[in-house]
Amino acid sequence: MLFRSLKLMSMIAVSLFFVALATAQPTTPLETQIERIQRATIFVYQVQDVQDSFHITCVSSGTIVSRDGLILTNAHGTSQSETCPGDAIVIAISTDLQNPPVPLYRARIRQTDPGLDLALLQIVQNIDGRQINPDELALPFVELGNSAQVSLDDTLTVVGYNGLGDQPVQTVRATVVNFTTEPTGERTWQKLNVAVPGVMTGGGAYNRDGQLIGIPTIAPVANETSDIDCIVVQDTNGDRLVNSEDICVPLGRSINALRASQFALPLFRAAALNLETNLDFDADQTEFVASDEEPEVSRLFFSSSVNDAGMPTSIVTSLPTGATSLYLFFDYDHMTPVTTYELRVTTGNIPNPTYSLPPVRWSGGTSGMWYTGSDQNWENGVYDFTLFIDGIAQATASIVIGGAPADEATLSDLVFGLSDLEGTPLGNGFVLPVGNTASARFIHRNMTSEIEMVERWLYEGAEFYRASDPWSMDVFGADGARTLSIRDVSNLSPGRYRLEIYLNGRLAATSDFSIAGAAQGAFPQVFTDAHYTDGPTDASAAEAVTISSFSAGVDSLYAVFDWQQIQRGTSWTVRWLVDGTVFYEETLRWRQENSGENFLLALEGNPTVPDGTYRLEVYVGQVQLASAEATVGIGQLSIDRFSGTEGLQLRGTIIDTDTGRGIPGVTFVLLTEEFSVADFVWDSEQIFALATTDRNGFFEVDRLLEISTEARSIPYSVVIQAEGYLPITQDGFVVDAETENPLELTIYLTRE
Amino acid sequence: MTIIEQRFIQPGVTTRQRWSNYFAVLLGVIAVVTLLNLRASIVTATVVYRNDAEGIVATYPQNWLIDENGGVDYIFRVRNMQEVGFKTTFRVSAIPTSTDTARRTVLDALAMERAQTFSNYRILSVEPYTGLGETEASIASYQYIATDQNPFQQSLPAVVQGVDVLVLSREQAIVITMLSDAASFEENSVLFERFLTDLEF
Repeated sequence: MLFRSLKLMSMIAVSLFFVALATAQPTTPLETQIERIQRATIFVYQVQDVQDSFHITCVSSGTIVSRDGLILTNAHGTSQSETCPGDAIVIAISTDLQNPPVPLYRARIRQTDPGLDLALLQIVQNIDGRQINPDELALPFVELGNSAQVSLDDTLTVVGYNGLGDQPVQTVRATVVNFTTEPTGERTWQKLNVAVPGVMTGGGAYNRDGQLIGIPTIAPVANETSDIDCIVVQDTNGDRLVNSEDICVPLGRSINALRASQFALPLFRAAALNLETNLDFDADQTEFVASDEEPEVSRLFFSSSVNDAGMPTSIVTSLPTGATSLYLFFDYDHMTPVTTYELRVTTGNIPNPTYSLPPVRWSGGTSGMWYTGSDQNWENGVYDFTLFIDGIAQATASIVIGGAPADEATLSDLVFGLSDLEGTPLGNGFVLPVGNTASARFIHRNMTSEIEMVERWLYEGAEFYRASDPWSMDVFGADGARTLSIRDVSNLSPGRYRLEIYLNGRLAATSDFSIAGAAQGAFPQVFTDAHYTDGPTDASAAEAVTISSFSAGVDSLYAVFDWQQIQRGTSWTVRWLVDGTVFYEETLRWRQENSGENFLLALEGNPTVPDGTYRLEVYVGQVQLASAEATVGIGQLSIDRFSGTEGLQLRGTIIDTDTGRGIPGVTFVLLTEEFSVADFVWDSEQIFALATTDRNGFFEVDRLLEISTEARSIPYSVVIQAEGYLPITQDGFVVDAETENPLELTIYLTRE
Repeated sequence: MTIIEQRFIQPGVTTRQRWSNYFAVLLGVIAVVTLLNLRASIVTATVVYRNDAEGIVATYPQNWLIDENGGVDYIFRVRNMQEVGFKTTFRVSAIPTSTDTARRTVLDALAMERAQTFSNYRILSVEPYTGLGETEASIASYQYIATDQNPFQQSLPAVVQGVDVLVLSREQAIVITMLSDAASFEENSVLFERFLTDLEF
């Protein structure tokens, strides 16, 4: 018996050894992970739960981004809206990659940003309604990559679904042909050379390393409900007919735009850390107030580039051959996060998908100035830009690119501040302290005495000062810099300002700026005494002492600051970071009194705030005006040992030698590298991963094995003991870069 | 004709041979008894678990997998990972209570919570338990259908029978749980009773 056992063990050892060394062709990380990525790609049904009957209202794709069932997808397909009126979310998974996905779970929204059209869902129930403990899930997931590292001409792999859940998961290869930048950040959109099906919206696009770097995104448009874009599949009104009276499911047009993954990171970070942020304002003071006013855009113009404050540097009406960047600016008003906007660009009347943007959700707040454009070579031609709001064309602008540089007069690099004796504006450029003057300085070129310049100053959208004069060549010359100033002896009111400069009736320069805070030299002091504190209630926290180091396990903490002379309606941004990574960012209109004390921001953990270094930053426009930092526990996030997506997938089948059939219910034990079989005392601390065979004897280790390198060998040990069978054990089980991935083992057990 | 009768004459057994036979039989008996004892000791071998922080000492079957990473769900649990099919589990957990909390209240809360996560969860009985000597305890018996959470495996569900033995002690409820495949419940109950008997808290 002993000899037989030893013989078997040696056979298995040899087989494991050879299987582990089974060489495969060198592959990219993406190729080795594509099956895992496809498994992590899920189909999202938004449904109406009507008397225990599900009516499908919207469909989209999504991607599992953590083993405990966090799903990244679009917000429009999951949040309740006019086009997607459902109230529940069902998740279907491709348990067999050759077949359509199977509805298995129900999910709820954990984090959402309607404007960015991103949502993080959490699987919370089985499809039959039973609750799921997320900690017990071990789902395949993907890693969020750094979308800033994507380059033009990079090849991406887009993964998602087509149809209404009746087709297997699909993979499309595409090339990045353009980046679109918006005020929300550089490279907001990645443009592809191919269009993928509309239902792939919410899925994922992957780089060569198998990291998710973009989310295919297109929003259904309320005014576009053609048969192609919206189909009726169920009798939802109970009249025993399936017709136009029933709910139609929007499928969306094809997509060639990816929302950069960097915008999903704050949502993911906040959800993964179980953090909730509460700002100190009433519910009726939120950014978007229901309004009967229709969204609108106006004042379209072009700039060759954008400055750090998100303002145009130089307004142009044409660009010479070889133009490397172009931005379309426009004003907007009455917008909401569920407003869809679309940019259609034609070149010589031919649609140009490279520069167009499909219908997407609005992410810019209620009103302001917006831009969209890209830094890359623009070919010669006549470009027509048409903006659609909720499916309706609202404004058009054209620009010619080609030919030699024009000699027309130009103004550029408009900045604001408090002037010194030489007329040079001092300060941060776009947020001025409250005082009786404000100055603007710009650079001018090719000016002549025939030019009449008009300066127009606006406060909160209304003109309060206008002046015009012929250009004085004697004073200012053709090329140089000039400063304009406004003065109010009773101080300029805090708030939002705009300067427009016209040359012979043509808008030649414009920029917005803010006046807020008390003067500290040329710089504004808007937010002061920013610090962290704690307390059982908001009121007590406001009065509590500053805390810079919280003990581990604290369930909440507060950031507090005072403010002065900031006008209601001023745009401000609060950003929260942990260990240098943003997990919360929101731009709001200021809704409080102009000055006050103890503005509270609460950060709540569920159940506790994780260890880490927490930093609060407060901005007006793009200018940081306050910050505070505190540590919790050891001041550093702990390492999640299950968060890695690099490694080898191990699975296999355990078979009865006598019958040749798989043995169900057998446990495959993989020990960590620190322990050998001889050391194993059946303590879970010694185990790297466990797997149990299914009815076919198939098992799958739910954690990726670390791959050995020349510098570091990682020997695992295997233990398979099942009642009624001879045990199998093996030390020194090593996988390396040459090992086939996923690795499939066939293990035979012999009855005792 | 002369007939010669040939007979095989059994040679007489010497004393030495007789004792050899006796010893052989004796050795055989000793070997059988030893093996039986060895088997019994292997089957009933236990490992001592000691948790000074919680004040718990327990003995559990050898080669069962011990796990102390249950967080708030349990103090520790042991599972028979060598069992083919559902792994029999013994688990000890502590639930905060007040001086007004009744054992029945805790058991009902557990039932309501489990009904949210377990399929076909059903209470079979709740009655006083006298197996802990003078310590007042209750025992709840229940069943449910256990399914594998891995969507990529085709595991069949198992009918699980479980018992909770509940004791109120120092403003917390100590819940000692056994979960077993219904088919092997009686067999595993013997081990559980031994586990209960040896448990100190």
